[in-house]
Amino acid sequence: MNVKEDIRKNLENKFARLLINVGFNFVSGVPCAAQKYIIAYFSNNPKIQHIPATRESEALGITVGAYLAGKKPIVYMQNSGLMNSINDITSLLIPYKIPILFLVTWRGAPGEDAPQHIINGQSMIKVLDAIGIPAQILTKENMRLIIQSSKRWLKEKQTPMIILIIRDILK
Amino acid sequence: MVKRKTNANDYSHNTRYIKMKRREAIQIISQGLNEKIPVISSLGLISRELFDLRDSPQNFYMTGSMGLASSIGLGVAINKPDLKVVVIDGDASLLMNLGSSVTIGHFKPKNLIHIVLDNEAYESCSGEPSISKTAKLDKIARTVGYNFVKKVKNKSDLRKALEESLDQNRGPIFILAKIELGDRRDLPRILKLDKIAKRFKRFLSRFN
Repeated sequence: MNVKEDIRKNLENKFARLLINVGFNFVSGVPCAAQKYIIAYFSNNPKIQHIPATRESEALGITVGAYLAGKKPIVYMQNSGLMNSINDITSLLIPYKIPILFLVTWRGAPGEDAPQHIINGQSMIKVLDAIGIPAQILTKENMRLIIQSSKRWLKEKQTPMIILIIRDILK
Repeated sequence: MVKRKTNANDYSHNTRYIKMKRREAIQIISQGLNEKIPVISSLGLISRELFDLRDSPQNFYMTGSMGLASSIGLGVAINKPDLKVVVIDGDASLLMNLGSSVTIGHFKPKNLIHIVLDNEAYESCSGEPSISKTAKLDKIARTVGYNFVKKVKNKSDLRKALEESLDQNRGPIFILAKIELGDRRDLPRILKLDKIAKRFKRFLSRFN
């Protein structure tokens, strides 16, 4: 593993560890390469239960069940999957007041090289704004802060919070 | 022009051999469960019927997010291993999120009982046909890894299948309950969704 990759791995592991340390103990999702070390860390840590899903909507359903059963859940996905799940957020999570932390890769962010992600990437923030879901961009400097503020939001507002992860931002 | 083999508006199969209405099926299920068994019901008339027949803290009525009832049931079942967990699904809802059945078949929660009320139609809309008639949902369930699969077409068989399911701990269990198309629609709407979630969460917190 080269030095750059090693640094990224350490930062993603640190982020996952911090999430587990503040009490998140259940996770579901559909993988994205930009979160590979986070997902791997969840898979290998006995303090958090990991149930992968076939589709992002399904992952949301599983985490809703886990929340109702007393867990503190996280769901991970790419923003393509977030756009797939908008109705589940607006008809299940928000009206039933189910606070779930989303880790969402922001494809189509400035610098994107894959054209199929561009429209999602450009419209995602407006969509989230329209349905009233906040999103914060993760950096290596704001990890602790973003986790604390997300935790507080989930507790106070009882609605979802999104942490956006941009490819190659953790370095 | 080639004549179509099946008529999309042909519901004759429903009256030929199925002797159970939706309300009757849901009544049998709710009467067959003790007050310690959580129920997650799928959207539309299924949830509204359950709400009308017997509202209880053990019920979670999923009124939107079509297809996700079984996923919510999986999330509950994994985290409450000492409880039996019942999902009341619809055929078109199951088809909308078929991956959920595959995940359930993979993780095999022993305590999950997945009941599908199958009228081969989108009854909560206007009865447009779904394609469950040719899908063989019970065979799909067996193929993806459910451990115990039953198909029932009348009230006494549903009652028996439910009793048999509650008696054992070798889920996931799949009950395909064929029901007639058409039943009452003047059912109350569930309005206080956040209170339903809170009440259900509190109910679940009493158990491991």
